[in-house]
Amino acid sequence: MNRGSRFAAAIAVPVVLGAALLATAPPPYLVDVTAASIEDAEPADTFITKSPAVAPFYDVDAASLPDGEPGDLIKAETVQGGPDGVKTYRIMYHSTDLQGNDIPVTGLYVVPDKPPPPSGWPLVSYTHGTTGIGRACGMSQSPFEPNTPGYSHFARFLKPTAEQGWAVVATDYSGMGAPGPNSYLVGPLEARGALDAIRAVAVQDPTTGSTPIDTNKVGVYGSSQGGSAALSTLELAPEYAPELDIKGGIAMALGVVAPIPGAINLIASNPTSTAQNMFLLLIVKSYADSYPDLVNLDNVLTEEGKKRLPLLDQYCGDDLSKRVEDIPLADMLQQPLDPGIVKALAMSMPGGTPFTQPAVITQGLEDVTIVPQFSHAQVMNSCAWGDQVYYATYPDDTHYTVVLTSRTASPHVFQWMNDRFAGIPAPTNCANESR
Amino acid sequence: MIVQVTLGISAGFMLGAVVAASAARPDRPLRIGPLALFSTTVPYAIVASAWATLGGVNLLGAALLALITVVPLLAVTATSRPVTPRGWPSMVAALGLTTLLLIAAGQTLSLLGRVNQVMAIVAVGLAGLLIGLIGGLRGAGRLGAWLFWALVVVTVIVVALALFLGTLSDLASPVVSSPGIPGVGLLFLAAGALVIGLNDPATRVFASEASPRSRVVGVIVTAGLVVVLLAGMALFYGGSFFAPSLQFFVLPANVDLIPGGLFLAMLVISMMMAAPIGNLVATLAADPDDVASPRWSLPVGGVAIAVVIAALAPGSERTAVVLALLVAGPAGALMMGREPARAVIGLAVAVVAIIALIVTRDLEFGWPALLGLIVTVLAGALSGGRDSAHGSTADSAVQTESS
Repeated sequence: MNRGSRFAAAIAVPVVLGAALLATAPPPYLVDVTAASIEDAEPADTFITKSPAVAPFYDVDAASLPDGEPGDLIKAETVQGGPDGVKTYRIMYHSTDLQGNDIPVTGLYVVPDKPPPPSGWPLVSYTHGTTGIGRACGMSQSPFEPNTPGYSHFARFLKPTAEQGWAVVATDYSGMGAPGPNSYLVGPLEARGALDAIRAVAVQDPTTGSTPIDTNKVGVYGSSQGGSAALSTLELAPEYAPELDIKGGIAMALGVVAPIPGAINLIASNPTSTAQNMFLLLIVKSYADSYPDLVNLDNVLTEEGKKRLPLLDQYCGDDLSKRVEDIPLADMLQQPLDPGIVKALAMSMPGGTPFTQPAVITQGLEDVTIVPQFSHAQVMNSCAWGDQVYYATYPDDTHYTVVLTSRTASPHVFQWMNDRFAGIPAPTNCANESR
Repeated sequence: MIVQVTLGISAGFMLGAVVAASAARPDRPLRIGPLALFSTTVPYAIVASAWATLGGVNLLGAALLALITVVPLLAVTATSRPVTPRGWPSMVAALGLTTLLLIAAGQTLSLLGRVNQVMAIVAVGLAGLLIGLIGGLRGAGRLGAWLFWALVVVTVIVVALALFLGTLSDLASPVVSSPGIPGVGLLFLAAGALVIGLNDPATRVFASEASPRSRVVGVIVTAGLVVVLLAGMALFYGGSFFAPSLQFFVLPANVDLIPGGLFLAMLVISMMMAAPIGNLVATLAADPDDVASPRWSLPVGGVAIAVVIAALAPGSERTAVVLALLVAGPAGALMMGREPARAVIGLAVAVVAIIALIVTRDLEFGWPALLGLIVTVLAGALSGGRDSAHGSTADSAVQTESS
């Protein structure tokens, strides 16, 4: 081969190879649809502007619980005043904290008000997004009162889920109803709440309407904080609740924090930002509860930060965030951030182990609460593990509208879950094979 | 995104091929400098690092992985006797290393660039073939030095970012703890690198052609670059990193936010994957009788087989174990100064060991595989053929080219 031929080949062959790569590239993740309207996705009466009082149902002495295994029902009551078409129960069940102690956790159980299928209702464990960590901020507190945390999620998630023919149990998470350790973004603790909630309603009980459940059709469903909790639930299930036959998980707009010390310190040291105040306070308080050996509030928060901690117990959602955004985040956190909390975050975020069940992950590209790169990173991670993950992104959707677009546009997450219940093999759009 | 990715990959292939073509001058003597040796160690670095990140890499892990990366160079330098790169052990080593590189290329390019995995394997295989055939030993050697400098640039960027975001004390006491690299895995990697490296035709030819000083410098700069790059990554991630993990993929997930970042990342990755295949191809293609007319059939056939195996996605750990066992007998023979290609009993022992590991589901970097490797090396050492006292064909080829 002469010199000219060599150079011609050196240029031509790579061009052809590049063209072949372009031509055979898998379809992009992008689902090019118009974003759902914010009015449809998050009506005004679902803004969390009210923080309800803690009802007597939740007052229980955690030190003297009746005997029971994780997932055993402690008590339940019907929640009156709900809309037609569904029956709603408030439940309390045994669960465990990260130290293995027996703790009470509460939740809301919503069942279609019609005759069940012969094999029982399919069951979805709903993991809710950020509402706070106070005892009144759970799903079950006041699900029918507009502008409360419970209503916000009942109206947007639980009722539509039940209406299409599934029973749905929504854990409040530990500490958000009955007393217990706070659990915000503590993946293994949130997952325990979600898995034990499934156990609590999978067995027919008169206090929950003796509702029959098809234990071969169980799934997990969540967004934002609940999106990462859903993935943590999939991760923990084989170890913590191996008897549960979970068919898959839906995770939207994943609420994750990448435990990279330098990156977290950059965020924490921003001298003007206040938008992340509530989230960081919720994380710090929860991690101090669950990882006492690693996280000490005195080492993480300044006096200004500690002053605002009591607000977390009293207020929820927007009602809370506006009360803690009065000073920059950097003034609430000691600089640099104590490494213990980063270490704890690394232990709690999903993605450390592969899932044994399929998952669908969706993300709006206009999301400024959870930047899309975090979901991209989680999907790359899942693909690297060889998980059966299907990822969809929407060009114009935000953190709030993506939950509706995910249901109305591909991959139609409810249909995706119904397909898993029907035993249809899960699709994946990872470009790689498992390692 | 996909346009930027494919342009980056094409540019990487093109840069590699043009560099190789421009250096392919038969009228000039073959000079293998220390930096050119770097590209012969890349397959070992890729396989060792990809596996070790599962447990977590910290400063100590980075140093150990750097050591494993240069084991083949050290081993080849330590064995003074020539070997025939065209014997079956060298063929198997070249085929296996090409397969490992293609598996890594398919995984990396499809994961980070979202190109079709099988097409990526085919493309990298063909690009490596092109580089090796049009560049020959001279071109491959020159490209190896380019690859070294490209990775120096990457390393500088990673270290600068790490120093900006991290603190050096994190390296001594990592913020993010990880389970650590299992010791038996490291032992297997070191032993595997030794036996594969002894039979690796590219390492043998390049190392034998480099001066003793170049070999020493090559070992030092290669180990230095690997340790600084991995330690820089560990520092960025808080003193240690492991993969797959959410935090590990945050960095690649943000690359597309930097203008041209994805293009440059794909360019470097594609060149890094294709260049070492070019080395192997150039070595196998070198014809002792006619240096101007490389042998095509051997490397073309070898790359084709490697592409097919890699496309079947057997997994790099399993492939590396099988490869190490297959060449362990010849390595044992070589250590005893015997002809490696005649270590037939070693090959038989290796086959039995591989079958046993498959049956017991132990085809991984563990004690059973390490035991199998040791037994196979001993079988090869004790039963090898005649003493290899004659110069090798490929070494002759190199000598012919050099003269």
